[in-house]
Amino acid sequence: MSKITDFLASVKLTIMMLALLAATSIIGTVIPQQESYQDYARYYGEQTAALFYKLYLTDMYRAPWFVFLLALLAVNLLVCSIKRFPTTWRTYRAKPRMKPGDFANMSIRAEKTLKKLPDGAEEAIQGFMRKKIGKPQVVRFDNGTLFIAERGRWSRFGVYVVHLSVIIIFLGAIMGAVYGFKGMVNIAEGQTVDTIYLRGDSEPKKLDFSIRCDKFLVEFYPSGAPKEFRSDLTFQQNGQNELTAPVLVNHPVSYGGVTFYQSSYGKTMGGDAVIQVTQVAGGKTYDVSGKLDQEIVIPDNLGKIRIVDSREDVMNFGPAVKIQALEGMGKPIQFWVFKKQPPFVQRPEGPLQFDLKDLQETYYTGLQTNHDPGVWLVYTGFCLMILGLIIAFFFSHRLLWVQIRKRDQGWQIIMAGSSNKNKPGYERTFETWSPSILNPAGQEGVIT
Amino acid sequence: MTSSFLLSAVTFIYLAVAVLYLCYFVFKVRFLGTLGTWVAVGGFALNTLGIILRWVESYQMGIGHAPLSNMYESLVFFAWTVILIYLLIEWKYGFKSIGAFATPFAFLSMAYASFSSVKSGIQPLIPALKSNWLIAHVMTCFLGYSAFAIACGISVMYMMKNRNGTERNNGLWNLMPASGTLDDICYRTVLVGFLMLTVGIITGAVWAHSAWGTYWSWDPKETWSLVTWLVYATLLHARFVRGWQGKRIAVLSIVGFACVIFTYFGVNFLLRGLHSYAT
Repeated sequence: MSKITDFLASVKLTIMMLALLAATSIIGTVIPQQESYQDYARYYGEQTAALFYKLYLTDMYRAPWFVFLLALLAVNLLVCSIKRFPTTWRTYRAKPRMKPGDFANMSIRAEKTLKKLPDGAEEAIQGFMRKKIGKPQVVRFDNGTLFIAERGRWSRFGVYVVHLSVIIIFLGAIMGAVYGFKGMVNIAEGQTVDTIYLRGDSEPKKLDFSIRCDKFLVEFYPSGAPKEFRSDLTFQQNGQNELTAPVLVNHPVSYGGVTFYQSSYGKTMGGDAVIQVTQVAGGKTYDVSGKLDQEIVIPDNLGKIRIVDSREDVMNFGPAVKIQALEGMGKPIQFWVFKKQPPFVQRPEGPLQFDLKDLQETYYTGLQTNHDPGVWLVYTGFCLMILGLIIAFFFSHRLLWVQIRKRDQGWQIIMAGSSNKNKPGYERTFETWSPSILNPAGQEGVIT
Repeated sequence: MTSSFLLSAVTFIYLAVAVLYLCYFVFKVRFLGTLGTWVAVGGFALNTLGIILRWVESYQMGIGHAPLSNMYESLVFFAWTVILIYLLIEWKYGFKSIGAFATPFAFLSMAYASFSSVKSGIQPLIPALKSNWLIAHVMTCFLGYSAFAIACGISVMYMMKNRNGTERNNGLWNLMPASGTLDDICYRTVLVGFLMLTVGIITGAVWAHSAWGTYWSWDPKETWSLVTWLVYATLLHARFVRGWQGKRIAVLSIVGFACVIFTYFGVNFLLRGLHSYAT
């Protein structure tokens, strides 16, 4: 058991996992992801394409083996941190060395012996230490004094903050994947919808509110490059307009826990349709017009229809709209109405005959929709990661000892330092401090 | 246009800087090193001015935006960050020989920007780029890239200075800092680069979330930036905990920079994805 824990906690495993993730991640940048089988087969050949599917390489970042690698890294990170934390905690709680001595085993060290200790030397050293590193503790002993100052003890936890941040980001991502959804919805100008299409799901998802696209606007620069995409949306609940807001790229709008992003646009036949209604008995004609999903009343109380679908082309016979006869045809039926009636399509029997006279194009807006309850966790992880990296990289636990001791030849001043990180950096700083400490109160008086 | 004239002048100034540092390193004439630093400072000032002017010009054209929106502008900014970080390192550590291995990146970047295949005109922003995250994202990414470029230069120095564990102090090599110092400076530079790349990826993710509704979509550029991040994370763990130093760290730092180059250029030319406007 401890062997497994040791392996899971080992930095060797960390390095292996990081390198392995780096190497395998590249695969998905070389093989296009989430294309159709036909595309893979055409490009790579049937056999290779089959192999790709076997190894999940066509959607590798969601593949079980890739998720397993990520999970293993997370476990490694967690076990390693838990295993090391008590040691760090003990080091954090440990008192610095308080015993006088020669500090001979310290790698950062300087000393000097003065014939006579200048007046106010101790105060000068204490003041200097307070300014540069922290308020020193004072230990007095038989023939001298030891000052101990330190800073950045807490910085030992920086690395744990970074590791925790990675775990939090993973948790946020899992939360988003489990409890969230991503979808798409296209809404033509003037149209109202209350369903969205989830990614990888053929059934639309019903929302508990509806969205109307009041207007879609696309602007171009003179060069032809797009300048602005903008959808004016109205969110409705129980038939009431609750919120009207524009959605632009980089400016999403949230309603009812779902966020809407401007993603694409296009043209659709959802514009005004002009329909000619002919009274079979008598041959009187009326022109009526309306948009998708609107109820259209035929004059003289002849009936009421609704356009439920409109297409640029149906069965190669050009534009057509699908009509639902609400009143006037005897029964509520749905049927296609063409500009040019195909010979094999039977017109519905009834007192009225319909023909499509004109069908206008209109814009539809393509909205990306998203509900991600994990995103705040991910962002918390982001902030912690930046904070943790700054602590781990640029702060260290630094100690400085200064000891004044009466010897036969005079007063010996020893200064010694230690740092848990970036020793060369501390050495350089230490060297800039040593003249002030070894010549306290600006006095010279060297013997050794 | 004044900014493009200024920036083409900067190209030649950076060439002079690289040559001066190289001559200082080879011929060991102290004056050349000092001159190199001053010319670099002057070039940096003009580079800064060029970027500001381009910013102003975009406003005069009525399409005002920070000059960080296409390949040309990113190359100019990359050169700027290389010189900035190099000068900070020189100021802190005082080794001018590093200049011979760092400043050529700035010249190469400016030279590539002057190719006709890199469109240098000021273009209006497409909707996806109209975001306050643009500046934070591009700036941090490129500060990271250039820190890694310089770390790579220093790693190459390390490999030259220290051949199979023996320090070379004669002839060409005596102006180089000791290999231990090179190792330390390289490592410190990687730390800066790693923090900047992390912030760059994070700002990119936050931006992507507000533009497309997803903070991570595994598009090739995102993935390659993650690969780069993982390589440097490997380096840091190897060093922090396994105590790797010297040659092995130098090799990882060079591999890491190769990933940076691929993230920057390779993805644009060889792979397709959301960052297609960055060509």
